Amino acid sequence: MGIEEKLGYNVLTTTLEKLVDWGRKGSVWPATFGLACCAIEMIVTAANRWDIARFGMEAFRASPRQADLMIVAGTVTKKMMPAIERIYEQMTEPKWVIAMGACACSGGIFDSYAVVQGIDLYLPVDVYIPGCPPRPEGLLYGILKLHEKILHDPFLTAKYRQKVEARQEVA
Amino acid sequence: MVTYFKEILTGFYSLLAGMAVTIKYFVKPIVTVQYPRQKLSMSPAYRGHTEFVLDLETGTHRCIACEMCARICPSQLITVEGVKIDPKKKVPRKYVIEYQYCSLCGLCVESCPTKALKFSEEYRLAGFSREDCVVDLLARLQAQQQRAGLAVTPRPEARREEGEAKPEGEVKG
Repeated sequence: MGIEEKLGYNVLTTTLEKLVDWGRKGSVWPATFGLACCAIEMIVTAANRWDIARFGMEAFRASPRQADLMIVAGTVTKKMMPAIERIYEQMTEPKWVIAMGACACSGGIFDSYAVVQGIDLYLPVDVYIPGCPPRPEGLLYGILKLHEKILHDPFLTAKYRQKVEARQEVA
Repeated sequence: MVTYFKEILTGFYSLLAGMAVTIKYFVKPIVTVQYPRQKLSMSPAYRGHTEFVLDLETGTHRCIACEMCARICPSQLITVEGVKIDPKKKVPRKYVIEYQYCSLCGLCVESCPTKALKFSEEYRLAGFSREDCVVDLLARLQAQQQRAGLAVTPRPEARREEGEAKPEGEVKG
């Protein structure tokens, strides 16, 4: 589609990609919402002791339109799922998802009809942070892992098209 | 004229009074932990995933593969496979926890008859998939022994079925 078809994976596009990925890495804005007890640890991470602003993430966006990152912090009930899906769909690309805590990773202790057994059944999760709840350091470590992933995230070059094709094949 | 200067003075004072808290915090030491470069040590009450206690008398773990922990676990996330190394002793061949299900209730640590388990101080556990959260306790113990310069506990062989031919020259065990 468009000019990217003809660009391929050459010096100009790869360098531009690196630059943009570096920029994206430095300003991942999370969406403001917490579902359960893990949200408390997320709030602590944003407060002055751990200070998420050091990673360019201080702006917890109340509007999903301005957010890049969704930190799913806590138990996701089936009743809550449509709202979360909607928030995710309202977020603009590029967007990432962190599953924080045992409940978001896998449903955790709540093996029940009312609880979603892992947010990855509905959303494409990038980083899983287990723990009940994880320490603020644990969350920061997960965010650093996400930064690693964003740094190598193709969006312009042939690699991106390969990724999209692979995704379509799976679906 | 006097009122003019009085106004300036009161204005200046109210500015200082209003910013007192800011100024106070400006000279106080910084509380932020610069996480990747500076790390806090975890408090003894912190619960990471479970790990084997390294018994310093024997230099190895105390697990007898009784599977009490696997049975009591409310999320059924512990997999223990024991093997008898002699008629009176059983050791785990495999001890794996799927940490993504763990709610750190501590029932496994409490129920252990030999006190072989404890909570670790690990918090760097994030991964790119669910499988990254799976912890192999035996491998962890082996790494711990290597760091401490102790003899590494080998992973016992799988139990053979009855009647299956044993390889030649193997010691009966």
